[in-house]
Amino acid sequence: MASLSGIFPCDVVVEILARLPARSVIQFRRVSKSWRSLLSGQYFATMWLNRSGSSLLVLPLEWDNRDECSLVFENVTIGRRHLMLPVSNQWLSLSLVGSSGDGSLICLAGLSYVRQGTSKVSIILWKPFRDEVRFLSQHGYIYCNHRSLCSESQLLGYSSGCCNQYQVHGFGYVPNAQDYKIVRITYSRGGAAAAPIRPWHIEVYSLGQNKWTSHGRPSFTWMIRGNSRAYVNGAAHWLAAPTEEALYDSIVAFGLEEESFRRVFPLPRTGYLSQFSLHARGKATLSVLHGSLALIAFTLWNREECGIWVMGKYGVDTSWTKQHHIVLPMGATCRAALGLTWHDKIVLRMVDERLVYFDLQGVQITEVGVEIDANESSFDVIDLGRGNPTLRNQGDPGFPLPMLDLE
Amino acid sequence: MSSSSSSSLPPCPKKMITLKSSDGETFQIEETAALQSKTLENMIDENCASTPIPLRSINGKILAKVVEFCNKHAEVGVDAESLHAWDAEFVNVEYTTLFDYILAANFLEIPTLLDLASGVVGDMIKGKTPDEIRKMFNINDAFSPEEEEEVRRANQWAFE
Repeated sequence: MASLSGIFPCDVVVEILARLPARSVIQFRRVSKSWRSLLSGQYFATMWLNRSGSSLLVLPLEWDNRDECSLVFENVTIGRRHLMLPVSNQWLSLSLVGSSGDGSLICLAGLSYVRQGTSKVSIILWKPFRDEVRFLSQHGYIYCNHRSLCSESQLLGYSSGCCNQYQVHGFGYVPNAQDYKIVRITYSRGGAAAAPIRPWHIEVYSLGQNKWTSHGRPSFTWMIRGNSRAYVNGAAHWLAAPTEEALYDSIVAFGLEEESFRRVFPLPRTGYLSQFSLHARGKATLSVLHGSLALIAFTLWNREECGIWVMGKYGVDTSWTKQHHIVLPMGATCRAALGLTWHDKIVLRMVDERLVYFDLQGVQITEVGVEIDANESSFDVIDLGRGNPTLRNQGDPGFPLPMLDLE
Repeated sequence: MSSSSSSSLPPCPKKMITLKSSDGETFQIEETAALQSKTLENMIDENCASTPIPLRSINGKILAKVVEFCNKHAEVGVDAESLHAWDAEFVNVEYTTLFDYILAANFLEIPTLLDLASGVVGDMIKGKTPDEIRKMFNINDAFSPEEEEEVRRANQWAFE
């Protein structure tokens, strides 16, 4: 690589640039060839995300101008107007499936219109720092009896009653295979409009091989909803209920390395969980706290208090403990908990449509800094910036995650 | 403090270290203050630093400021708020001087100073145009106008 500056050694330039806001980082790709190559690279991306702390990608699920979504870095919002997702306006809405944990690879699901009453979901893999994108189109169509399109239920992954199917996804990195994989579980009525919806088909996609593998019909009947937000121990996890109308009482895990379901975990029996809402249409959320599975649930009687249970030892049902009980300040009412960040904060969507962080240690509410349009019925949030602390002190620009090219 | 250093080496007899700048000026600094620099720490461990340590890449004007910085940050009983104010005043200088601080902090491996000065430079450059950046950082491998246009198009959202 050519010298980055006639004044500074390369590491000093990196030190300075790692403190810049995202917008400047992108702009400064124009400075020179060597700056472009540095600022588009994964080494820099990791360093920069480590510096910038919490970094959320906020994506409205339905919106008028489809280029709009937000990357938020420490309350500095960029790209609200023109993040320019590498997707054209064929997408009626998008949702987040997962990310590589260092911001280098983001996996989205996009819903596109086929014709009246018919739509389809595709997977979009996007490397924001390298401007690369790959689309994984799906063959099956979704049919809806009542409306020209049911977008939110499709994107949030639940049955809206009028559609013949919905899908849920999980995304994660498989170290032994040095590969990213996506699991897709299709819930379907199987052709009969009045039949109950049930797990119908499991497929796994390998990014390295660029190939889907079918695993046929699952042997269980658990009802799960939405894309997994809890990838730990090599498995994507979801809250699960025995039937569509029942309360959540278990956690289903799909191991991406072995490509099969693991043992189903029961939900904790500690911390008066019965006082908390586990209705599948309520807002109990499964997330990850310090590498452990974490359940967030609101109390039965209001949306101002929630508890966080953590499964201390993975797979040990008795290791659940209630670690936090959060009471929001007076006058603050929450619509939903969207998940936990790598920096010990819970992201909440408030009833007045503000998006806020709430510090688990302190009692502080901070605005995320995203303006939410009243027209946006819903949105999706993911924390991109865990970085990898073990990488911090290595001068080596090498990176353990494979640089899989998408194009 | 010096008596508590490692047992395999004899404790350094002197608590004062002498530094010599590129233009021959000498500066006295207390060992405890000098230890904020990893580079100096290594030199002090090696030879007890009885002779002046030559720093050929740092001139007297900058070295005087670096010594001042290390002394301030080694002071005991300074509260965080007043230190913060002191730091802000310290880096309230021309960008060329800031660059010299960064180079000195990088050479001497003083993380606090490097962090402080890099942060200020970051703030200073974030609104600059690529052209201004090229001048400031003395960069020669610029794009041709066609190439630059292509990069601009690829990242259009950041330029609006």
